[in-house]
Amino acid sequence: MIDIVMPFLSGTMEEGTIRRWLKQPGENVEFGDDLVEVEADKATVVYQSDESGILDEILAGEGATVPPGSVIARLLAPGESHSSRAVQDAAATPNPASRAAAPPRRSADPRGGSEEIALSAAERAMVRQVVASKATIPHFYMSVDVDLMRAIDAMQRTRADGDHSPHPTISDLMIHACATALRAHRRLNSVFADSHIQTFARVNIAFAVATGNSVSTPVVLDADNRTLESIALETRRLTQLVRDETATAHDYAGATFTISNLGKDGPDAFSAVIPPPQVAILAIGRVRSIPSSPAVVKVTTLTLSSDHRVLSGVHAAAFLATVRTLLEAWPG
Amino acid sequence: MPEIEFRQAIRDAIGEEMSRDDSVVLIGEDVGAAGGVFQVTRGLHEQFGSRRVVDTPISELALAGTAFGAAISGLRPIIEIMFGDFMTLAMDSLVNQSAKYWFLSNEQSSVPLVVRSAVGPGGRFGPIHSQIHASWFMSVPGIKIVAPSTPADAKGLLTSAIRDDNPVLFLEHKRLYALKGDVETQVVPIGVAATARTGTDITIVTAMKSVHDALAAAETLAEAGIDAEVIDLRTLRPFDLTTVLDSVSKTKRIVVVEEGPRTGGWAAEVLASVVEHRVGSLQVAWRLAMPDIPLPYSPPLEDAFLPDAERIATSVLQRLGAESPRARATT
Amino acid sequence: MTTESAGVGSVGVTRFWTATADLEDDREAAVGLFRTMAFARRFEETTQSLFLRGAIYGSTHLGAGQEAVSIGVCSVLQPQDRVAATYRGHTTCLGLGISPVGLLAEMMGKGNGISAGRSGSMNIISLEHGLIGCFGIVGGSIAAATGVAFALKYQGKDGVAVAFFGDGAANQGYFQECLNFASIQALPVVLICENNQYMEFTATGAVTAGGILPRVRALGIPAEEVDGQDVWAVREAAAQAVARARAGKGPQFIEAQTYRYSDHARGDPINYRPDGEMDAWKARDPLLIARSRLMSMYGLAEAEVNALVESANAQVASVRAEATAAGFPVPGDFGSEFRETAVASDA
Repeated sequence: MIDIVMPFLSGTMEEGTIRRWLKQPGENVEFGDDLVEVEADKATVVYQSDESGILDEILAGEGATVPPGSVIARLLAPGESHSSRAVQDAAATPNPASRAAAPPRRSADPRGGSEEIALSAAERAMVRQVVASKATIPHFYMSVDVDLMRAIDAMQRTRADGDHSPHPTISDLMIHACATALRAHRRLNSVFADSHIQTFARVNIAFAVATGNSVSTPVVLDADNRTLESIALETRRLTQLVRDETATAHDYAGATFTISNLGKDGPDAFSAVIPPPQVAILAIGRVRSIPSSPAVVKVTTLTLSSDHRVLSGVHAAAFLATVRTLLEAWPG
Repeated sequence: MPEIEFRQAIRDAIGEEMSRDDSVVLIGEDVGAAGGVFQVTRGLHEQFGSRRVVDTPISELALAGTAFGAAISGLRPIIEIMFGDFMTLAMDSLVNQSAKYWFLSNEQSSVPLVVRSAVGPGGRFGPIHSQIHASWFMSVPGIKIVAPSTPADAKGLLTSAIRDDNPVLFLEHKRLYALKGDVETQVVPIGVAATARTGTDITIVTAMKSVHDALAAAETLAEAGIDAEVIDLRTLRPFDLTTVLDSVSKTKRIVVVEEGPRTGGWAAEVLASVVEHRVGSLQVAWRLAMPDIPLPYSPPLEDAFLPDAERIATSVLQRLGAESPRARATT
Repeated sequence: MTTESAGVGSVGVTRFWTATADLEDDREAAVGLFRTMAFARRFEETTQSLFLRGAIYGSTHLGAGQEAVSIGVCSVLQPQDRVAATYRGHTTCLGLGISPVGLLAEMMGKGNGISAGRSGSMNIISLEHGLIGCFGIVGGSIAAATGVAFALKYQGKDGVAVAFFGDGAANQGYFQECLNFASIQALPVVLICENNQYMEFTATGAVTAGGILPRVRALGIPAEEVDGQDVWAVREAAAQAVARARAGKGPQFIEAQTYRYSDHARGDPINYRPDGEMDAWKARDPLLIARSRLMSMYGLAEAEVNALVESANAQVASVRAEATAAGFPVPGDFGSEFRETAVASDA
């Protein structure tokens, strides 16, 4: 019996998730055959078999998350038969992947019976990230209301007939405005590095995409060099990759700033957690209509979370002022 | 026996070993035809020829690398890195090749190589021609470092270094080159310190030129009623802890004098080792070194850095609570 | 033709020291050359496999795809010649007849590794096989070979020192200093540049002003380019270069164009290479070229060639089993940083 284990894809890998088995039990596996797709640290890799034999048993099914080195499948070596397997099984140690299937224990818990909900690899990664962020970054928050009447109007009016490109959304508009603002407020386009602040030449803005119970943040590279239409195309493309689960590590890399928008059914305002090593994140509240004379006004509340080691209230306020000016004068 | 200069003692050691052993070669910049920038190797090229005394281009890394390859192939190269300050250019080969080969090869071969350099401040050579690179190598396992203070020790230690099967850095303090002294044809073992002056009240540990400064300071201290013992380490790595501890058991007081920046210098290693073993019985322990600033060139500026005889004496007197006799005389 | 088998370890690899480079009349040598390359390929794949299983640690640098250069050059050397290689040196070690069990065990950190677990993959040293070392610092092999060549010339020995290094080394200080020194001293050093097109993730061409060969020629060193995928071409060029160096003509330089299949080290993102590039090089895989030569020049049937590969693979599997079963060294007495020297006290 030959063990196939979850491979060590990197020195810091803590766990990997089985995405898709490319061989099924009973199939012949040759040295070098594509055997299974594995996801670790947000990148998916095809693991090729380093042994030959017949795939006998899959011990970690699709969706299972296990540490590197754990047995995920077994091959029957050439010439081996099943009868020898029973003896081996008796001596085998329990596989960590099977622990999740244990039935819940009965108890006298005053909260009643419970159900265990396993966290996916992405959710676990998010847990680590937000804990690290809140533990190490001194957050402060600043909000500003922005009148989007003019901008929304302009966005609707500039659509030509027969234009089938994606409609720019409020998020796209925010990316565009923030990108322009970050050019003038470089200090927010940076990381904190102990004794100095490192600012970056490129403005790469990540945006939050809800996926299951967690959030993915693909990156629009060079957002400050793009038109609104280009941003819309890019966010649509990236969102599709995320939804199809075909995004690679490259699509998540290089963000210098992030925005988060909970959509038209979201709250009026909220604050977001800064994703390290960035120094700020902008949370966008829903666009709400406010009766005003002479016309209805469309307002959103933007909330900037800032890293107080790098940014002061003055920095945050100046940035928000620039963003508001850009948006309220759209398209400028 | 006539007295000879420190530089000649070095030349004699090289010449005698080259005569004795055909595998010894001398390689460096201007060591051959020019006789060395400090005239240390004059005459060797005429005596042994270009095959054995090799002038190289200005290529410290090639020099150190060539010496490494040659040393594991049966030769015993002596190379000169002209100033200790230039060690930075040779360091990859010395640190990542020569120093580690014996261990990494699982003892298939050691690296019998000697690296000579002119070192030390006080010559008005400025910050990048006055450093003593010993401290940079103190934490590199596999490197020995010897530092003579007299012509006799220069010859004796260089002979040992050439015959040693390991990489040895040989420090030639440039202000000692003209120092004269008796020389016996004797090998001085590496790793053994010498007591330059016996005393009972304080142990002054040092090396190279500072040994002479410490001895002069000891005279001043004697007038103030302090009897100093001066230990000449002679080898900085591995240094003779036993001799130092024996002295400190007697005196209970120790100062280590180093002509180098205070932080991370070899004096710190000596002091740390002594404290580990004698912490309960020590009354006072400190180092006298140079500020953590690059050495300036202008004479009054440079002199302000040097731990010379007067500064050593004053430091000891201040620590031990007595006034300088000179100060007493002026009040 | 003289052959020597490495006796160290339970599975030996035959090393070829041929008097001439002419393989045309020597079917056995040609077959052995192919088999050694096939063995090396499977050995590197096994290294990768063990790596991904967490049984080899830290980092390794695989030579899969570059076998023709290392094994081709080693096959024209003589017992008195010396070799310095890089951290990507496993195939060179195998080409010199070093025990594959000792090599794999060393990478797995086992007690029966060549250095008893002290060096790992990057610093294999075996003086009895003429391997002065594999060097983990880029360019270090050039310095080591220069020094060995100096000693060989000094001692009047009829040996040459070979340095293997990558294209990235052409931009290191060692390269300029040692080539210049070797040239003015006319040292018997043979410089083999394995140009696998990339340094770590950066294409060499993008950061190597003026290319490599012009720099070498400017120093008065004869330099030529060779197809590193064709072990016959490598052998011919290497044999001539070695002969010239041995005859006292000074350093000789060969730039072998080749390609590495794996990333620089584990975990590297492989998407820095343009689409289709790897496929184009794999179409000229050294094993494919050698295989078709064996069939066309020596009349081997395909089944015979396949049998050679099977045999090599089986041998590697047994090496793997043996290295896996070996025990780890016990930490304890680490020996000394120095060799004990009894210094004679006579004058």
